[in-house]
Amino acid sequence: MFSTGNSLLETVKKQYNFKLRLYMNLFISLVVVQVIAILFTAGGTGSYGTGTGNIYFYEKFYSSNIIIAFTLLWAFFAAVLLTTRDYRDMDFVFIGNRLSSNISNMGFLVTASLAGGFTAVLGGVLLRVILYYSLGPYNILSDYYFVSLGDLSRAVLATFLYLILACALGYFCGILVQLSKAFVVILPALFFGTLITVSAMEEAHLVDYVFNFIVEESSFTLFLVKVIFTAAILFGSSLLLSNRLEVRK
Amino acid sequence: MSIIECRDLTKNFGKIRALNNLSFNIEENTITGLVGRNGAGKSTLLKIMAGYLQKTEGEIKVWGEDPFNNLQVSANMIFIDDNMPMPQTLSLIEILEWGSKFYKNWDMDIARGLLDYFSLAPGHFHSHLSRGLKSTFNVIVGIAARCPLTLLDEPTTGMDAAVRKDFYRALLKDYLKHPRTIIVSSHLLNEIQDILEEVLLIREGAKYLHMSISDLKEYGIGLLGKKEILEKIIEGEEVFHREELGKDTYYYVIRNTLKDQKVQEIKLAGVEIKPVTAEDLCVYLTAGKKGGIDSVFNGK
Repeated sequence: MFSTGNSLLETVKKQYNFKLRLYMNLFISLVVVQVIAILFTAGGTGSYGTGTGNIYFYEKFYSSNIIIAFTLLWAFFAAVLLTTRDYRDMDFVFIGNRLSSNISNMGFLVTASLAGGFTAVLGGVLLRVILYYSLGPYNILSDYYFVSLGDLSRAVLATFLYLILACALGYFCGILVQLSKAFVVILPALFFGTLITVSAMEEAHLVDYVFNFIVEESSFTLFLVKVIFTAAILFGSSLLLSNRLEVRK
Repeated sequence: MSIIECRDLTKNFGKIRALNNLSFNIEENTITGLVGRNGAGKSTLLKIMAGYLQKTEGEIKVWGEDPFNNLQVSANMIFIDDNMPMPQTLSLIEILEWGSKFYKNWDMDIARGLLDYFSLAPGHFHSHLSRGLKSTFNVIVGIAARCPLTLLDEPTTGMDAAVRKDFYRALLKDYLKHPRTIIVSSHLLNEIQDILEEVLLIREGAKYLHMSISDLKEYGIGLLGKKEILEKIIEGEEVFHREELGKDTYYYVIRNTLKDQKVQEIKLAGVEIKPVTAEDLCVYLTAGKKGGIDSVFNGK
């Protein structure tokens, strides 16, 4: 009756598969978020007009940045959601311990990030299609309109890695909040406070440095390493911090 | 063999002491009833056994190991209470199917059969069920999982009498067919006593008594008669309860250590002897303020 040999790997696999089914609503919300982003973008992200004499011209800019930005936000909040009490409690209805729950959560978030990467980049393609039909091909001027498959796959990979970072950050913040409710106030305060004070100061270099460390990396391999390293630190800390948390209180 | 060993277990929630130097052993393949007042610490104890909560002091071993964060214990244990965080996005039958994927001993036939018997539509969602039906579904999961350690925390909350009867019967039948260690906490001792083997009574976080149900049924004896006579009889005996029933008629409950001869004396003195049900006895043993609830109204 008593079964031994319930390995961590086996449990993580079961929990991971369970979560793919259980958290399906997150994928639906991903689609919704991106549709909203596309709708926003379809109105144009900027415009410029000028002219002289009898000649005037008007430019409207479109960019798929908003889609990526919204997807990053989605990834962050999805990760936070997974750390909330109801979701953590659900992990203990069947079989699991904190380690297996955390690992399966991270596995899920990586999968979700991959899905998010694909849909975000393809959302950009969809945007181009929408603009083609709404504006007409003669009205579109762009260097980046036709995207090669190579560029698309690089974009997917890059977005995937950024999403993993967003998830890792979200998970870490979520766990902090679980440890102490005070973080609900402290974390946003830290974030906005840093933004405000730094932009007011002349010494904006520190924030720039941190930001550019990730964003301005030109070597892809190095970028990959940086992302994996940072995500590992964030996920690892989340694991250690949450390992003694009580559930089903 | 003791499945659960507990030595001086203490659990504090901040300043509140929920469990206070609790010590007991639970043997393998027994059904134990966990009884006590509201707030006595029954749920806390079960959740510590399940590995959900951490102990503050003392020792708890399930299968010889600390149950907290323990995969082996988790894989062989299921904890059912009335507010289980069941998945909201899965239908009932899907939840059962995932249960079968997790638990090695899962019995899908029983699960489906019970689901059908209690008229639960497989396609429904857990959040749409009434309270009683939620409890019913939760115990279906608990029974079908066939875990060597099955912990049920007030599983009958919200169930109507007919469903409760069926639940006791189903639990007993499956237990007899596939023995396992079951701990059920319940307030309805009168109903559940027929399927229990042992009773563990908790009072204010500590063990008050731990004995077989048959011993518990004979632990106390009720005496009905005039006050003066009763006061003489109970000299030297352990008194659990005193109550005024009517004009000059008092009801006392004492520990049943009476020999036959004393019993004859009592009867001759005009005192009626009545058995005390396990449920009533537990109420008396864990009684709080002296004077009972009447004192609140008498004071005014």
